[in-house]
Amino acid sequence: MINFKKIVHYLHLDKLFDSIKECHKDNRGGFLIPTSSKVTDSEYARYRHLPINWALAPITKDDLPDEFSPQAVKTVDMFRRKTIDLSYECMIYFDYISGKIVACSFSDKNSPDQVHGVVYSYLLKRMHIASIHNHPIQYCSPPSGKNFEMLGLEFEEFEIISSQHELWILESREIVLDEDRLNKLRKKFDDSLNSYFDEVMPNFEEGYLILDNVNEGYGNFLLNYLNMKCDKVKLTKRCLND
Amino acid sequence: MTNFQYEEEPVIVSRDAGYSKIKLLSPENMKKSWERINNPDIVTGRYKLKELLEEVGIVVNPEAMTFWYKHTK
Repeated sequence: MINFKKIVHYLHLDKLFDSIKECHKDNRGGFLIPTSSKVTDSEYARYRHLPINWALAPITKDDLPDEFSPQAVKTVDMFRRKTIDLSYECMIYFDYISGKIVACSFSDKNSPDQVHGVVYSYLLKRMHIASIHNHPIQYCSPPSGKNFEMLGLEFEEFEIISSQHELWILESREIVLDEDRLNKLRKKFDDSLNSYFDEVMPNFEEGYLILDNVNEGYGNFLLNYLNMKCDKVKLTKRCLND
Repeated sequence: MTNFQYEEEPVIVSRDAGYSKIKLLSPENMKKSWERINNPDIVTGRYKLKELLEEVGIVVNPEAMTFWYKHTK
């Protein structure tokens, strides 16, 4: 006949009971919850309650780097569905293996074209960190010169930009550029955008034609320039079928 | 009770929404563009792009560059 003690032993519950007893004996201090490692703030609550656009085609594993787990693909897919219709910017940091979101920020009403967030990098040391932010419809698809901060950050390995029809994926696993070199690179990108604009603008009267052509030309320039310039940086563009 | 403090300063991260379409097509930007185009001391357009691409080892013929992309979206 099997008694209660044996059932507890077979189910490996004895260790659990022992640990609970130890916990009761512990009177060293208050119960500490590491809230800093959780995303429970109001920004995340706001993100969770954003409406989801189910009309979009899903983002698949083929659209993202091989390192991304199925859970991370879901995180990216859901981010795109939640932010595609927003007129302001949103950014999340997540683990591209577990898919868990670790930080979330929204742009301020006074500066809708910039989003700032606070990240405790030492809490992310054992994680595989990627970020994603959206480019709202009133902004161009390719990353601007102000972007690329990630090239100076050690803890972040991938940066994804979700625009209306494209995903831009920047990959860099170490600090590639210091602030000075980064600013020089940004200046080159701004110069190239102006150069495309100067070539296209006199030939097209319609604004959307100027933007379409500048978007495409400048985007191609970025892909060529950055991938040739820096060995440890990879920029890719994925066109999405919606 | 122990006072837990972070050992490292937090990192402030920023992301940009990209170039604003409204700012690009604004009369001010159009005016700046015309000034660049008409100023012989400023290298811009296809000749500036040639310079930039040469930096990374891509040689292009500026006269043969095209700036028209057919868009489906």
